[in-house]
Amino acid sequence: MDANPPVRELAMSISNTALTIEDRKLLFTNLLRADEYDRTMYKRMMSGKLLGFYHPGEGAIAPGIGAATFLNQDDVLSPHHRAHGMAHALAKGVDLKPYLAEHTGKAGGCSEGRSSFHMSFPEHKIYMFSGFIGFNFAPAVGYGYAAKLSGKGQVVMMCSGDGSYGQGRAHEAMLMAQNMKLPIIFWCENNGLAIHAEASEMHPMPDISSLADGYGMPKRIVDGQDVFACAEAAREAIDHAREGKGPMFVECKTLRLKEHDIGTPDLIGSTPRSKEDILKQAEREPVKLAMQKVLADGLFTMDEIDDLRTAARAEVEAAWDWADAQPFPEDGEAELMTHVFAPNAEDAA
Amino acid sequence: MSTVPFLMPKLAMAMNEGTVTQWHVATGDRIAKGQEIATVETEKVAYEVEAPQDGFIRIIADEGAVVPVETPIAFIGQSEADLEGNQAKVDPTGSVTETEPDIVMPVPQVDALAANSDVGRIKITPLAKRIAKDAGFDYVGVKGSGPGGRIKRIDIETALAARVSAPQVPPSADVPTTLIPVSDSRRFIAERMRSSLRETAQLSANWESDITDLLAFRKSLVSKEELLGARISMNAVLAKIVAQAALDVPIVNAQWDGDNIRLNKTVNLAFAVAVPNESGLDSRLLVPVIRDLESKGLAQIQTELDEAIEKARAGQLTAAEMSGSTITFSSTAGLAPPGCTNTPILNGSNATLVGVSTAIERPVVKDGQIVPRTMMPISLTFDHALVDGEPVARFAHALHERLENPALLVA
Amino acid sequence: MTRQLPFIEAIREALREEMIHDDKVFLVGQDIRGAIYPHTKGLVDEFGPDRVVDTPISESGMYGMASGAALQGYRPVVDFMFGGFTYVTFSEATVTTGQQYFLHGSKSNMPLVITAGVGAGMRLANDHSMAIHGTFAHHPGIKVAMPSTPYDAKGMFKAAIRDNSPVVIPWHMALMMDKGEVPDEDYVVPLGKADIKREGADVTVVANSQQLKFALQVAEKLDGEISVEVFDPRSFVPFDMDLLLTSLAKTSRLVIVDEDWESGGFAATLSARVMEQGFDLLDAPVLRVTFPNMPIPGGVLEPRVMPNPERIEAAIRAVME
Repeated sequence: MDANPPVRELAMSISNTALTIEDRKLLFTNLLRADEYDRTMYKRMMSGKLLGFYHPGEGAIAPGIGAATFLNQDDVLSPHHRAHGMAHALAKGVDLKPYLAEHTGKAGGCSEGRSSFHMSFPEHKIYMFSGFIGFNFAPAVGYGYAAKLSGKGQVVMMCSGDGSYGQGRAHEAMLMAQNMKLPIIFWCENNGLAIHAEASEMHPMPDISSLADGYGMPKRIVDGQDVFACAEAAREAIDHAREGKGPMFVECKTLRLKEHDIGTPDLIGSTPRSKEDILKQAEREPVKLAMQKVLADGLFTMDEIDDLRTAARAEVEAAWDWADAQPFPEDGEAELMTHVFAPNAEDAA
Repeated sequence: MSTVPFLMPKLAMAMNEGTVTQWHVATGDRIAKGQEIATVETEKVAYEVEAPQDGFIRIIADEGAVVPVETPIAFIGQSEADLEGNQAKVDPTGSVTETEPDIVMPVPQVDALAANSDVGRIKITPLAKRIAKDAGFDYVGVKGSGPGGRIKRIDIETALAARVSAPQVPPSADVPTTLIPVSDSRRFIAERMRSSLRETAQLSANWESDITDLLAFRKSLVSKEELLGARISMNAVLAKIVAQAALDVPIVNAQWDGDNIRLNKTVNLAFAVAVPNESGLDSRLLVPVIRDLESKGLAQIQTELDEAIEKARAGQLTAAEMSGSTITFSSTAGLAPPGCTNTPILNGSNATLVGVSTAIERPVVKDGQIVPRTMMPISLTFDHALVDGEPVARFAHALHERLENPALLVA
Repeated sequence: MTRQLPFIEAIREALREEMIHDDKVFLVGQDIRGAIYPHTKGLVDEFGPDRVVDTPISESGMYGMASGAALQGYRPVVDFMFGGFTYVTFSEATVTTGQQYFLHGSKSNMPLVITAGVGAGMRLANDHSMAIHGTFAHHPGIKVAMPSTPYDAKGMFKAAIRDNSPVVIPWHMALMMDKGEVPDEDYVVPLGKADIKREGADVTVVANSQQLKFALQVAEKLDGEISVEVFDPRSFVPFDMDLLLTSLAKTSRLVIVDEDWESGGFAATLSARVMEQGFDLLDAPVLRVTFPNMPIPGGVLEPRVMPNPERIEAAIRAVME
């Protein structure tokens, strides 16, 4: 596997949600790569080599891979902030090097080093990030509306966690999506925690997806530790949206094996999470589960898996080498001020 | 807005107020855009001001009233009826009293910290202004040490302290006196003189040069008046010689220019002309500038000198005609006693001033013999902050050689 | 008796003591039971989950909880975690809150407190760094304050909770672990009263929170050359204009440091007021040191544009010119 991931080409997805062997191999490879990126990010943060903060994705990367691997280039993706959306982005074919550069404040960063952590790849239809949880529900309605107007069969993959469904705008978005039959997939990665808040305490129903019932929106619940199950559910929802049937709610039951963000104590409520519980949960670590599956199904041998892992590691190392070699931006205040507003035609004169 | 105020314009440098010396129109007259409607006098310069637009004029500043710049001296309305509402008049004390302000006065611009405001507006902080007002102190002419020459508290306090050390003795009631109103030009000259002494390290060198041959030379030129088209005066000859000597030692023909010293490649000579004032008791000093002296022949210099003096006497010199000098020449020859020397005060930003006075007959040792020669006293003032004694001595030497050897005029 | 207490701990003491003092006081926010920041640590154990409430990430819902309860006689403290998140429920927090007492005939008040962490310098970019005091100071009917020291923090949080009007009192995250003297006994620092944190004669520098620290550093550095009077407003609404004018009468020069954008920030308001009320005291124009009008960048760019000791010093020198 070379250092540059394959770029997804524009292609219509097949109506049959069944995953081919190639699909499954791709999913597994993506999962390994996302795992490497996540772990390296964690290590770099711990060693002071990252700017801003980091929300580790250990235990939680399968839904992102499932959600985005089979998106088309021109489908809109709003990644979840878990693992800073790297799993979602790389699955969609994004080269993560500029994101790594952004996270170290470099000039080659995807946001020109201005944001510390805002992902932005408009060519891949990833537009914005924000620290305001649930911010992405609002523009998702817009992405969906634009997709509907342009009639090209685009869909919107709107990923967020259980905590985000506390936002009023989540409900407004679901309401409007269902009313207008917008091609939005409400992809909820429910790991049961929002920083310290337990989903069971913050939501009256055990499933976040039961919200969809109130809007007459079809829903699916999948095992968020099973990347293949996630992918199948994603495909079904993507097809449903692409065929103009409106939104779908997919809830991935997933886990969070680490703290919410590095530096915040790992508590539930006000009690530290028990080490035993975390260890138990780690038995369902997604890479581990996927490995079991691909070995059992004879997709890869152990050696091939090792090679894939090695290649993934090399890819991440090369990406960081690239990012570390980038210079810091030279912009001072005057230069930055010229970027506050987008230019108009007359400004070019 | 159907009426617009016509404001006292800000014309020359350091102008804070002006006087309408003559209105060419009367209230109620219809005026046309561009028509000359008044003569306005600033410190030393008289200007014709033009109407900014068509309309009917209502005059509020009387002839002779002193009006601060940018306050109204008239209103121009689009119809005669428009002018009825403007009751504002300028009373003789110079303040504008308005009884019915039904038009909007333009708000004076508040300067930012930048120093690029118009020359002529006095910048002063509110605090400094209040301190000055409380002390009954006129801050016009105080040099500001703030950005862009802004007057700050410290400048007023310094000025007040200086004033205190030179107490003004009020005239006692039984001493017969005449009061001459202080004219704009007197005020202006006073400030120029004081600031020249304040801001430079000036000193004067005095010597005598033998102008016997020079006088003969000049006389021969006078006999050729018809050919030359001008009666060459000693002043023209002296001016030319000063210019040539200045180019011999360029540093004396220089000015401060920010972080540089600007060596001027041509000589623009400021020529002091004393003009009696209206009262006859006071005089005013005007300094027209003859440009590029070194490249002009004596006849042309004379013609320009004559013009300048005439304009000076008629009060028609423009600000442009009095600016841009690189060196100054001043003569009291014919007025002061023979051999009179003095310590003339530098003019504006010039580094050097050459002063001459009435020649004196003296016995002089020449080739071992004692002979009577005509000696002209030279008083040379220079700014030691800008130029040192050594180059000045060289300049003096050059000047001296040229004065004593008229042939050098054509060398 | 006093002791050295970290800034965030002083806030915690204020919250705890007020909750003991008045059982109508309750806290509401996200992750305050687990104390994502130390100022709420252990409070749920002492006061129970009904008085230390974690809600879903529903800013409008959470704020509604506080504002409605406040009208019903409670004294809630709403903790938004980061100042910018108040904007998620902007109309409730500014318009509805500010107008409650005035537009309803002075008959029912809303004695709530809004708090959150604010402040630049941690390279977290706009969302997590933006200031909110200027925006809230713009809306009538809301008091706005920010403490700069542990002593002020404890006293001002107490004053805020006891105040019968809504009070927005963010705290600067850069000060979190800074220690200062805090008395043992109960005390209140009244809102609306500024504090001269360092006396001087040549120039008054208005600065608060992190910028107060910077201003004091600069004052110390310039000691002997320029005598800097450092003025901590402590409250923005109401603002202690008397003390500022007294200071200006002495120094005649003013530099306002505000860790907020230049456009429409509190510094602009204060500058205008000083011009109106203290014009004749000024021996130089009022200068402001603020963020330029751009979203606060993260990365390595933040320090290049934020108010800092160098910029404060440059402004002081400019105003002395």
